[in-house]
Amino acid sequence: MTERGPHGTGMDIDFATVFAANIHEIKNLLFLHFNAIERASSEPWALGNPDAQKSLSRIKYGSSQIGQRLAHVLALYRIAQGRYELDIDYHEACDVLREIAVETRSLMEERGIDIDIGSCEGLYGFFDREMVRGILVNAVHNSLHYAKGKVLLSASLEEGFLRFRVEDDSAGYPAEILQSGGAHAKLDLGGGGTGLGLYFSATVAALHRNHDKVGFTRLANGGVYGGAVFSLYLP
Amino acid sequence: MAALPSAKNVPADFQNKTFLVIDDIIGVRSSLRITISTLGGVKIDMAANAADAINKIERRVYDIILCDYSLGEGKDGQQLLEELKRRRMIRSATIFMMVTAERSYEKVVSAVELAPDDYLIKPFSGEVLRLRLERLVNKKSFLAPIYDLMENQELRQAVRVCDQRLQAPGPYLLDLLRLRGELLLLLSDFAGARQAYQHILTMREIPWARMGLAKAQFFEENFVAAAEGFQQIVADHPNYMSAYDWLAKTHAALGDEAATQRVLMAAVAKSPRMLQRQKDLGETAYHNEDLATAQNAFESVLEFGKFSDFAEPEDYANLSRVFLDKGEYAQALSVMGNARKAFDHSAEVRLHAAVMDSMIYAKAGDQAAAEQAFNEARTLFEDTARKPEAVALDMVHACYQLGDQATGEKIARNLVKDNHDNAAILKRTEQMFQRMGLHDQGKELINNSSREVIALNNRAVKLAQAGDLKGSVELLMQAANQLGNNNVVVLNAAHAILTYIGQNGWDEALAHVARGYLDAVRERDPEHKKYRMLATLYKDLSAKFGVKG
Repeated sequence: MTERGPHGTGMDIDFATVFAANIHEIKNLLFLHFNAIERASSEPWALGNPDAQKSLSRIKYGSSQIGQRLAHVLALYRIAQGRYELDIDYHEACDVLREIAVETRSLMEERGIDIDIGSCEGLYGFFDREMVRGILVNAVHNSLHYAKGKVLLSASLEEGFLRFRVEDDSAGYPAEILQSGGAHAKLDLGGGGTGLGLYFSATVAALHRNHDKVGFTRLANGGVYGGAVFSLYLP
Repeated sequence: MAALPSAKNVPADFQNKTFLVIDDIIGVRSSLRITISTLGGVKIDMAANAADAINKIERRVYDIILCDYSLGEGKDGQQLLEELKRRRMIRSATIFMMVTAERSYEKVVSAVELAPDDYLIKPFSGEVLRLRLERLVNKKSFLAPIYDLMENQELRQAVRVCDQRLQAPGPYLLDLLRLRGELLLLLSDFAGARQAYQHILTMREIPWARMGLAKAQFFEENFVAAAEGFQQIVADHPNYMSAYDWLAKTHAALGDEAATQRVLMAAVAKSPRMLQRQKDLGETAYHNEDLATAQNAFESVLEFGKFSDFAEPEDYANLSRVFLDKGEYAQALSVMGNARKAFDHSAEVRLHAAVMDSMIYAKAGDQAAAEQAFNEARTLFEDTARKPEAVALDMVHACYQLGDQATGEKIARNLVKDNHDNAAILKRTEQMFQRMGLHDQGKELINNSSREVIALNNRAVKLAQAGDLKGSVELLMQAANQLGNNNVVVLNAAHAILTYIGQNGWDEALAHVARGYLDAVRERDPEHKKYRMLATLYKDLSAKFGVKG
């Protein structure tokens, strides 16, 4: 038996692993929680009650945000460990956007925001669907916070990159975020909410490589609605 | 609010679909049942674990299976899927969807050879499940004609349909390309498969395409290129376990047994519970004279195989042989005693045990006991139909040890003749003679015996080249009757017959013989690289001449 340090048994804990395993557990619990909310909103007491629906929708939004965050942290943890491998497959751009629109529909309704899908027909790409979905859902959640009434999802082909775009009619990104840019997003524990999401997006985008091309994210203001424009470029 | 863009997928009618939900947590099961019923599904069954699921799948055909990756004790979702596919319990048309809390948890998805149709990451909403299922239903119906042809073994026609659909591929481009590559490999069209996978790799580096390319190169016997490919996969995707096995196999084909052992050790360190891999490691280490590693591996085989139907009497003999070489005779005997009990004194285990016992007693100096065991072994060996190469080798060894050279030589000769193209077995035979101090004698026996088979083959090929196809068929049939256990000879005979039929029309008597040859090889080695090609050729010919195949 080896001798214990002055701080006792606690010193043997591999905190990162405990942390990751727990996040995994929490995600499982969250799934049950998420389903319970979905079930609640279709129970008789809630069905004809707009206030109840509104509250439930807010709770659902909250838990889906927690779920997103946990997924980001776990993915970043694996990337940091060098144990993350992309699952590259061939996907249709419209398919991905449609799923995001369907997923966020009830939240959008509750906040009085229209979500539309612009042009994306006939575009395909090689990418990790779950990761790309994570990036785009994060961008949509940002828009949900700041948009006045419109969010547009679209895709296009630009210089050999598949470009996904999330734009809204908000006041746009603040200058300091635009300056640092999505690609150089830093984790700022003191700052607002967007740090981790953008950091995650930039990191995962860069994991997508094709020959000498590397994926990236871009933040801009303007676009069709004159608000924030989040772009994801995939090689 | 603006109308949501509607899915382009044709909406699926879930009311008529049969669902199976597999999850160890009852709350999740009932929650999924509710989600499915909101999609219109009514025929929903539940299973709490893999065994329960297999039970249900044996009784009912399911259209859609939703399976959680972690299923508590016992098999996980991936292992369940592999078993279902291996036992052909689910059709290609069945949708198998894996539900996980995190995509990269434990197993990395891209590193799995037998992938489910889709992964669903928790949490997900009912609407997302509907979109995914509709997409899969559409994809399955797009690919259905190809699956049907594959199930009927009409592989060439399946390739043609792939080619047609690749004219306007749409969202299923990669699925079509992947199926096409797999079909070409099954058809033994290795050059075609190589080009198919190279084409995919110019579009994108995808591990399964790299794997397919390396396999095609392996079968083309371009082992250096194949080794590079498998090596690259192992380096980029350390969890792609089957790449380790192929890399080890390729090193063995290159004659580098040290490298084979290194790769297998790396794989075993990652996933120790794969019995076949432990067994391969044990055998390789034994022949590299690394007895410690061999002992470890063979002990693992017995330990992990205790409750599965994978462990065989041979596994006990392997471990016993290590103890014998180490001079630990009591241990060596006790392992075979355990084997007798484990297999309830079956003829097969008695043969293994008698051969081992005679070698052990002989080396320990108990001549009387050795002879008694040897006599039993000799009788059993003659009476047993199924004789694994390892037991034949041990038998040769025992024969020489106990002074029955004639029998030993006969068994060795037959072993070589049955496996004249199997480099590993020839090498092992040579090594055994070397250990007995009879290296030159062994080498001569091996060369003479395999030369006999090769000469016979060459004569038949010459006859065929000279235009005497009938003569070639007769010669090869003669060879196949003498060397019925030699897959290469038997398949060559079948090939000659089918070529003859192709040129001269259907001949039921000959076709019957060819069918017998093909069945015999399928029984012994269904993965033989030439078998599938010939089985397809047979099918094509019977269709061409209007015979029911």
